[in-house]
Amino acid sequence: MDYHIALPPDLDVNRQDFVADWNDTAECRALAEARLVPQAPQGFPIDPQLVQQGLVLLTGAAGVAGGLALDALKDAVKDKLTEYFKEKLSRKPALQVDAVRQPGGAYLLVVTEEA
Amino acid sequence: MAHITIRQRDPQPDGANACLAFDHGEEYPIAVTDPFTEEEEARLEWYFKEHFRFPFTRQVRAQKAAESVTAYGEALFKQVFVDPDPDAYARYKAALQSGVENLVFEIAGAPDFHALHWEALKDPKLPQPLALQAPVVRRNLTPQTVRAHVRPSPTINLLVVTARPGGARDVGYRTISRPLVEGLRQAGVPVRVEILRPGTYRALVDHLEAIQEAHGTGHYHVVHFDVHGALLTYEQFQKGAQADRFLFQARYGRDDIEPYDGLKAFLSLEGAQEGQSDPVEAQELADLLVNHQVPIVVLNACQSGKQVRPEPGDALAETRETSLGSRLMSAGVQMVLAMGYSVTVTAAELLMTTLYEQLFAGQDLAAAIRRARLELYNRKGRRAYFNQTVDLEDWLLPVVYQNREQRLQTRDFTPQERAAYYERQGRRYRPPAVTYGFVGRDLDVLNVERRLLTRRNVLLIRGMGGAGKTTLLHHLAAWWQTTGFVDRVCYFGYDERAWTRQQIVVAVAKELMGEAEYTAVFQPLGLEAQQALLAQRLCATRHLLILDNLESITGSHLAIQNTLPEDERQRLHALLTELAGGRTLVLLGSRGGEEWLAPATFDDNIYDLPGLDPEAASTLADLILERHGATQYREDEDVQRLLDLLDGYPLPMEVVLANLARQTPTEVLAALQAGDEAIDMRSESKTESILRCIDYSHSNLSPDAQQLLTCLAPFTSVVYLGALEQYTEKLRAQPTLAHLPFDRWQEVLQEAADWGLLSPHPQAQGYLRLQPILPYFLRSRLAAPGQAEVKQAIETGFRQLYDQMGRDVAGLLTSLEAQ
Repeated sequence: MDYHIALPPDLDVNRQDFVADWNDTAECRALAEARLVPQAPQGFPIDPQLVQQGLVLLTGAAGVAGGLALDALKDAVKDKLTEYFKEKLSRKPALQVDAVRQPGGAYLLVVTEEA
Repeated sequence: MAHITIRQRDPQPDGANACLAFDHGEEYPIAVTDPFTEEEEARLEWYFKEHFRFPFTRQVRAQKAAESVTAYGEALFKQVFVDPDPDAYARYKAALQSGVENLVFEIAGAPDFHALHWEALKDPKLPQPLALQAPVVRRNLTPQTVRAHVRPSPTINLLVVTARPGGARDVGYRTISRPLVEGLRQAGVPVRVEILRPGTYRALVDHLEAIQEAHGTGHYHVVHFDVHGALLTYEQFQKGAQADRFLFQARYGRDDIEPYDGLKAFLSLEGAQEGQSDPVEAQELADLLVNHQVPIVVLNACQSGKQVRPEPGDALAETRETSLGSRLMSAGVQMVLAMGYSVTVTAAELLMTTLYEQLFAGQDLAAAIRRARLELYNRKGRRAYFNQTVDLEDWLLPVVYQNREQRLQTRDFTPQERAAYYERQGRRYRPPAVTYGFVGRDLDVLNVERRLLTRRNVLLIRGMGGAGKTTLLHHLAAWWQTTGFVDRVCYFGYDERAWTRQQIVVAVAKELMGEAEYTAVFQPLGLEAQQALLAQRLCATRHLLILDNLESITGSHLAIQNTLPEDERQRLHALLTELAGGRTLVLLGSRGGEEWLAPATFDDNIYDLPGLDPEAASTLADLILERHGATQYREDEDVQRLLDLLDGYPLPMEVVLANLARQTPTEVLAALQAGDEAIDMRSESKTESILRCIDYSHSNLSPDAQQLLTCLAPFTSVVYLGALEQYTEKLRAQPTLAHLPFDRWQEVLQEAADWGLLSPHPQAQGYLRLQPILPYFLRSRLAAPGQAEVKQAIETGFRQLYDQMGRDVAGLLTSLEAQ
């Protein structure tokens, strides 16, 4: 099953770095492979690519179907992002990852920073 | 109509900085201040610019921003009509008696005055903002030095400039233009729509020059810029240039952008390469348009009508014009529709579709814009990022600048003009009807156009069976002709007939020449001279020649009747060679590479047509399910699996999903995987039956190839070439299969690729992508009586292959060897 990760634009995460970090981490890679996929612009800004970076896709996570496994994936995303912030940006935001079921059965993992 | 004018004027000691007038009569001094604090303004900007980018959080902030529009409008109304003078309010109420729809609000002022959201103006006693019921137009105080005038014309002439620098990563190429063009069918007035191709600044200059030479200045009534845009600081502009995302130097017809203070408005046209845009600054665009006497400009670019509020105490506040719309007005354009903030694609699509429907029905422009604004108000759902939907109050965004009332007026046709116009309408290319309408393909249309314009005028569109090549070719012919890209269209399908060079030459000559010229000039010539004359004509003017289903030409004569002998192929090749490099576009459609025809014609100019993109495939699936009463399955996971398997191929989708009328998704999926012939249409046509579609190619393969290809039956979607040798070993070990010509695999795979049954995978190197229905076809053959033994042998070989691969992977996982 495929999972998309929705990262807030103001969280300042470089998607390419995150994808590379995820795939280089054995535990994460065992859960799913991360890829960056384009997201079609929904507006007419002068440079859509700068406004909205690509969408992170976790693919090939067939072995993690089911509630418990989904929780494992959410935890992995949260841990990886927390680690990313600590290493790259020297900050430790309180992150939350929620799964939103999409039409067709796929999941969107929505990352938010707790106030 | 009652005209209510709100005009800025020099600040008075009593605080008045504007005046209110009814029908240009007595003026009432009024004091106008921004109803918003800086924080409230920032929140509204965030709401339009940021909220839809991540619509999961800050819902309360979004709600407050939406509500603030009403509060703003009522506060502004109070400042203008209630506070200054009871008499003024009485005049307003009197004017209202004739109906709010009979009012026109005109706002005249300097840039700082236009920074206010006048479109929000709301009478608390009325249910809706005034702009939804009456036109609200803005005007500059600076008089125009020149004024654009349109030449009297019997048709409304509209030029659409669409630029999608991001290509595949951009907004759909025809999101705006397609509904606009389709609206022409219901037009109550004669309209000519042309689309600029390509969407570059140079093409725009060249096109306007060519039109001026042909028709004189003032040909176009409206130029619509369906492009991206923004207000940029010089630093932001530089950042884009340094990242090679903006064309910076060698900008055609313009100097380099010099450093500047503050913000400037830019529109983004296409740059030299995909992914690069060519930002055109507001004044540059204004200069170009005024030279060509364009009276009306429509913009769906973000921030194209945004006037930034000057900093407090800015001595030059009145001159800091950031709105592109306002700048165009100063340069002589008579009316501009622009966007106050960032606009979503959904809103732009809805706004423009309604606007042109109204315009083409004969409405005047201000009324058409009001109606389009109302549509935005009534249908607030907008598509946000992450496939979400949000409600937005973006009816506020359209900003109309107008110097004088604009009506798109046409004069009567002369008898000759009328005849020419309707003859042209009468010979329009009409594509065959498509069951579910033509869905998607915007990116393919863009790619095909780019290849034709930037590489060669001869292009091969290659696609596996069922990909929709013929449907696309027919659609392109009609689309291009309707939008002024080509004049005449000639289509020759080799699935219907073995068209010889002579037949093609004669048919094209009849299409291009009138009866008199054909008989007097063309017919007396010998064939070679006829070809030379026709080639000269085709090279000098832009028409479209389509040769489709070319794979038939070299097919097995027993399988397909419409083959051409070698000498006739050479003649056809010679004809196309003469057309290469000319203005006429030549589209070739085939399942294979047609190498025999490539030299000096299309060479390597090949477009591999994929299935529909996921969004279009989803739209087509919805249409199929709706027609077959199976919408209850839309969210079913097995329907999703079916869609994945069918890979966006229109014909397989139409045939397979139609079975959901009488079977569950699980049953249809099982039937597809088992090769059950019952799910196919009972038709002999390759455009209706998926088995016939594959058989059309399969029957042309050599017997060896047919036998060997059957071994691919167990695979789904792809074949990993790296495992082919191992698979062959397993198959060879099966006595029933031992006689197969396994040493010819490469040859057979190439033969199958030439017939559009498989192709190298575009994303995964080392993999072959199977035509989505090929496995089903092969399995259905194995299910035939007498094939049980072969089927079992292939399945055994396949299972053994995966057993072996499983052992190999397990070995790697448990190995203690570092390498």
